[in-house]
This record gives sequence, C-alpha cells and structure tokens, in this order.
Amino acid sequence: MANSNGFYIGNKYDQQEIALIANEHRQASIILLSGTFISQFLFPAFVVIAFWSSMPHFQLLLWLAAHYVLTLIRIYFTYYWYKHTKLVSKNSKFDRITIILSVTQAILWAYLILQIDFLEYLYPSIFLLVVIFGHTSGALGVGAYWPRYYFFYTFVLLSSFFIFALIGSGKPSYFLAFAIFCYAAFLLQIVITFNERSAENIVLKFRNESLAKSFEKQRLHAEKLAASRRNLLAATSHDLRQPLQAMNLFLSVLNNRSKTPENKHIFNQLEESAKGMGELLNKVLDISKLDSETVTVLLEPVAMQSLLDKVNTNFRLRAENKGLKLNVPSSELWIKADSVLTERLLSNLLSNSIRYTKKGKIDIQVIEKTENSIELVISDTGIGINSEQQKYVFEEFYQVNNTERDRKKGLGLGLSIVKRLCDLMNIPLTMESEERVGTIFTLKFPKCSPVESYLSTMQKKPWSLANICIAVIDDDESVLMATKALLEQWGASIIAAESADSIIQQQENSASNSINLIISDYRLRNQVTGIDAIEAIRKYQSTPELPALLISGDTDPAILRYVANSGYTMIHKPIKPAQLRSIITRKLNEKPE
Amino acid sequence: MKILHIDDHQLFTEGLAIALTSSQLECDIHSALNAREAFKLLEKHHDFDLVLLDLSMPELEGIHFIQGLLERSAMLPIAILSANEDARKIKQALDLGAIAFLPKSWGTEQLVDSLKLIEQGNIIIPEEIRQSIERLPQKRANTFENNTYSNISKRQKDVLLLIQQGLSNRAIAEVLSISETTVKSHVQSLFQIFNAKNRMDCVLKATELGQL
Repeated sequence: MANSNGFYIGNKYDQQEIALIANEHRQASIILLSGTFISQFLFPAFVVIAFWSSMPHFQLLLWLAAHYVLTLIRIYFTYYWYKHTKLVSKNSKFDRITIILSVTQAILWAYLILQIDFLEYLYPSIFLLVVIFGHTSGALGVGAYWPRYYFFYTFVLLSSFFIFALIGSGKPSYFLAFAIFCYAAFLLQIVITFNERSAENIVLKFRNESLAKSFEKQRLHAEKLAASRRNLLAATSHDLRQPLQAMNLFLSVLNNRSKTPENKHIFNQLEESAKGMGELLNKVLDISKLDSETVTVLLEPVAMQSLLDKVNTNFRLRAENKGLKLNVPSSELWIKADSVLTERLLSNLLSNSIRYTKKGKIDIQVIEKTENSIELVISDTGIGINSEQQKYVFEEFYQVNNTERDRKKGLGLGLSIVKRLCDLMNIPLTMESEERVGTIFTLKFPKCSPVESYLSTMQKKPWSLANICIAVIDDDESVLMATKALLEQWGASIIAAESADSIIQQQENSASNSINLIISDYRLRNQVTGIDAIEAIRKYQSTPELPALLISGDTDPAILRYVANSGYTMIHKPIKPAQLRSIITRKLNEKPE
Repeated sequence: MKILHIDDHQLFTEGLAIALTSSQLECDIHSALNAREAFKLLEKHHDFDLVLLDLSMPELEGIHFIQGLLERSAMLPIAILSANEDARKIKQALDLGAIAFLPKSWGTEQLVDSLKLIEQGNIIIPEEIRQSIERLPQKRANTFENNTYSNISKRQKDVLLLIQQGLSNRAIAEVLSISETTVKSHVQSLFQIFNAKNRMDCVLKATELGQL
C-alpha cells in the first residue's frame, strides 16, 4: 500500500515512524532539488544554442525565458518561502506548488519535442534526447525520497516522447514507443525500491537509537532504585527502630498489669509479633548496613578453634533440641579473617542448616586444602535445594518451598547476608546441594600462621581499670577502707594511706607500679590539705600532670572557690559510686592540658 | 534514683518513663527532648544521679552534649541509651567519662538490672560493643589524645573541633557555655591564624597544618 508520499508499507511502521520517514524524506528531497537548480539554468541555455539555427529565435527566447522564470519561482519557494513560513499546511502547499511548477517545466520540454522535426535536424534532436533522458535518470535521486514528484515530472517528459514516437514523424514507430514504455517501467521499479529501502534505513536507525536510549534510561533507573533503596534503609534505620523499641517498653508495662489468663494470652501473641517484627527489621537493617559500605572489614589472624567454640556454645543446644547431631571438630589452624564478621557468617549458615534439617546431622569439617588455604565445610542432611532453585537462594527473601511465607521457617534473609559477608571479606563460597539429600557449604579462607600475643596490641579499653594503680588518701580509717574496697571491686590496684608521706613510703618499699591516679580527701591531719598531698606525690613521681581528684565534705564556699580556682576536681561526700566511676574514667582518659 | 533522660523521640521517652516507674527500680525520671530542655532541667534540679543520653539527636549530638556538661563542670555520671551502635562514637563518649552503653533494643528487665549495677559504679557495655571498640583502628580513635596545641589556644582548639563537626556559632556557644559573641571572636581569630576564607576552608587548612 503506497502512502501518500511514498511506498513504504503502512502497517510495517507506526504513526510516529511514518511521520519520521516523511520528514526525513522531505529534508533529503529538498537538498537534492536545490542541487538541480544550476542544471535548470544551464541545460535550457545549451538546448537554445543547439536549436538556434533550426527554430525561430523569438520562440526559442520566449521558451528560455519561461524556463528561467519558473526556475526562479521555484528557487524563491524553496529557499525563502519554505524556510520562513510557519503555516501548518506549508508542507502540502509546497509539494503542490513544486509539482505544478516542475510539471510546467516538463511541458516546456515536451513542447520542444513535439515542435522539432527529428529527421531534418538530427544534431539538435540527439542533443535534446540526451538532455531529456538525462533528466529522467538524474531525477531518480529525488524520486527515491519523493516518488510523487518524480511520477508527474517523468510522466510528462516520457509521455510526450511516447506520443512523438507514435505520431511525431510521419509513420508511427511502435517499437520505439514500446522501448520508452519499458524504460518508464524500469525507472518506476527503481524509484519504488529506493523509496522502500531508504524508509527502512531511517526507521532502523531510529529504532536503534531509541532502543539504546531507553536501555540507558532503564539502566539508570534501576541503578537509582537500588541506590535509593540502600540509602533509604541506611538513613532511616535509626528512626525505624525507635517506635518498635518504645513499643517493647510499653509492652513490658502491660505485661505486669495484665493478670487474667485471657489477657496474658493476647499479650503473649503481641509480644511474639513484636519480636518477629524486631527480628525482621534487624535483618533488613543488617543487609542495608552491609550494602551501604559502612562496614569496615578488619582482616586479622583468627584461631579456627575460637570460631568453632562459638559455634558449639551457640548451636549445640538448638541442634540437639531438634534431635540433630552437630559434629564440630577441633582445629589448631589459624585463618586470616574478620573475626566478628566471620562469626556472623557462620551463625547464619548454621541457623540455616538447622532450620532446614529435619533429621540426621550437621557436620563441620576443617580441611587444610593447600599450603595457604583452609576450607571450612558445613554439610547437613536437610531438605536440599534443587538445581533450578540454587540460583536464587542467595537473593533477598527467597525461600525454598515457602511460598506461603510461614515465618517459623525464617525470613529468607540468612543466605543473602551470608553472600554479602563473603563478598565483603573476599571469601569464596560454594554450595552443593541435592534435593532430599542435603546441602554442603564450603568457605575458603586464607591460611595464616598462629599469633600469640596480638591481644596486647589492641585498643586501650576505657572501661577497664586493670593495670591501673590508684593512690587513696583519707585520714578517716573507715572511709579509706570503704573507698579501697569499692575501687578494688572495679579491678584497680590500690595503695591506701592516711597521708602522702605514707603512700610514698609504701611505693619505695614495694617497688610496685607507678601511680596513675590520686584520690585524696581535702582535709587531712595536721592542717595538711589534699592539694598538698597530691602535689607531694606528683613531685615524688615527677609526673606534674598526674590525674587527681579531691573528695570533701566541706560546703564552705570559700574553700570550694579556692579549689575550683586552683584547677582541681572536687567531688562531695557522700560519694556516689556511679559518679566516682564516671569521674575516674574521665580523668584517666583525659588528655593532659 | 533520679534520672535525666535525653532523647529526641518522644514516644521512646514516654515509654521508658512508664516502664521504669512501674518497675521495681525506685526512680524519678525526667525527660528532655533536646539539649536546651536538658540544660534547663539541670539548672532546676541539682540532685540527678544519672543522665541517660541518646547519642544521635538532630539538634545537638550526644557527644557535644557531654562536652557541654563537662564545660559546666557538672560531674554527673552519664549512661548512653541509644540505638546507634557506631563503635567510634561510643568510644568517644566513654573517653569523655560515660560509664555505660545500653542498647535501646534491651527489654525493661535488662535495663533495670543494668541501672542498678550502674548505680553501684559498674561499667555496663555489651560484649559485642566492647569487641568492636577494641577493634577500632588505633590512630583514629586516639585523635582526641594526640592533639598538640602549639599555635592555638585550647579554647580556639575546642571551637575549631566543633566547627569541624559542622556546628553553628550558636550551637558552639551552647556546647561550650560561652556567649555567641565570644564564639564569633574565636572564629575570627581562627580565620586569621589559618588565613581562611570560610569555615570549610578553615577546617581544611587546619587539617593540612596538622592542627586537626
């Protein structure tokens, strides 16, 4: 089915594509038509020169003038009117005018054909034929983009020639007429083929481009979705937990107030739901944390035995309650891993194995695979996973055979957490599974040599008073003993005395650790103050910035002001343990000023 | 036991208040939703035994609140009660004298038991948190201790640290309990010392020169 402008098939392309082809074709044909204007000036002039001696000059000049006027009008239409017109119908108007004008030009050519006596004026006749046949084939280019224009133009030219063959020169030449007819058919065929092909090319190019564009758009969209999901969870994880935590508090109050068994039952259900919600939330937030790349991985030497011990303590009971055997070996090997993340990794894998094993056993094996790699193998005799589902088990919320989403079967997040943890630590994980036989997970850790004393390089612990020596000075024996007992209970080693001199003496005799902190009563015997005592010890140890605090029952504002102005910290009796502990911690961690 | 609880989530402060008062722990709990309310309560009552503090609050972060308390020489024991489990922040709080970290996910019983232990001067920190604090890289956790105050005064240094944390002059004034005008003059002299065009520039140049 030919479209009003061309031969591309209507139902092959949609509305938008047809419009696109029409537009592209119009642009191309206008460019080509513009290219013919020079020949529209040159060839009529050549023909006039060739015919000069064989036709009346006035007639020839009039013919030439008509040609030139038409060409000028066309130039005006193409270069000026078309480009500067904003009419909605300008395209069809332009088409009509251009066709009328060029058909008129074709008629001018036809007029010459029918005017001249071919036999008498052989040279100009051949010249004319060459020019006309040249025109019909030269216009093929335009025809490929604008077939209608080409039909009108060529029809006039060739039909005049056809008529000439039949009646122009005395006796009709049917053979020539037939040849012209064949030539016309041939041209028609070329134009149709060109037209279809170019339409196809345009549409293909367009489809490719829009495909690439929409693909890129979809990719960006998907990336954005994934990122926003990650960020949303990471950003809101803090706030997400709040209402749930508040709810748990309210629930505990409710529990104490609901005495009837009926209410107890409802309460238990409520508590169960809250617990489930909390679990789900924590898992989801775990994943978002792993995804948001805020988890720092610290690869360090880890004793395999320490991991296996954790598994034993955390899972033996759970497995045995289900009637499963849990075989955990012992191992002397060390691996390079993040101990906290690896523990989580193992506990997720084991929860999973226990959950999906109804009877039988769970085996853990540690295999020294090569010189520098160790395999940890966890195998169960559980329900297994068929090969079709194995692809999906590491995806979030995917659960084998749990389309009804029974929560007792877990949340389906365990293995996706496992995968993320493995990726984070760069530990290869493989899974082999057979339905109704069991599943084997294999983790491949880098081996490392045992480390003895890496604990000593660890972070200073702000909460620990171990290895801290505190000097306590108080002239009241009972207070002194009570303070000593309290501090010792927190793990500090104490030197207690009623004066600084006595402390210094004890230090000299025992050669024990140097003092890290002084706690002194403000009022000591013989008019000595705590400040004096502190300074004496500081001087003795040559540690002028040794942390110290004063304790006092004084409420005399003058003393308080004096102490405060000398830069000492003073707390008031009776000492509250929490406050004392807090101030000690602060003093020990304070930077020297 | 008189407790000051600071948390921006009202639902949670109400929940905690009801839960604690109806538990066997004898306590009097006062709630504040932000630092300003907290400081007001602290001025009114001088006999709080413990501050329960959330670490992440929109206006003034828990850490800055502790700094503010220290500036006011309030020697109250502080326990962190927070859902935020960022080991670095917790370590900072502990270094500033906080004596407990209580996760919000704990139930009432566990909280009550912990509060009793805290009252006796025990330090309560869950095992996982202890582990992750121990595993913190040394250098970063100790930045507070390694500072050298060669060119700028301690006060200017404090202001600089708070600028780095993105606080406005007003918030800095609140933390350090000094007037906003004083903060402005500190900021001006910091700008001069580091030849800085703005706060960002100031922090960057101070970092380059090893002052941060």
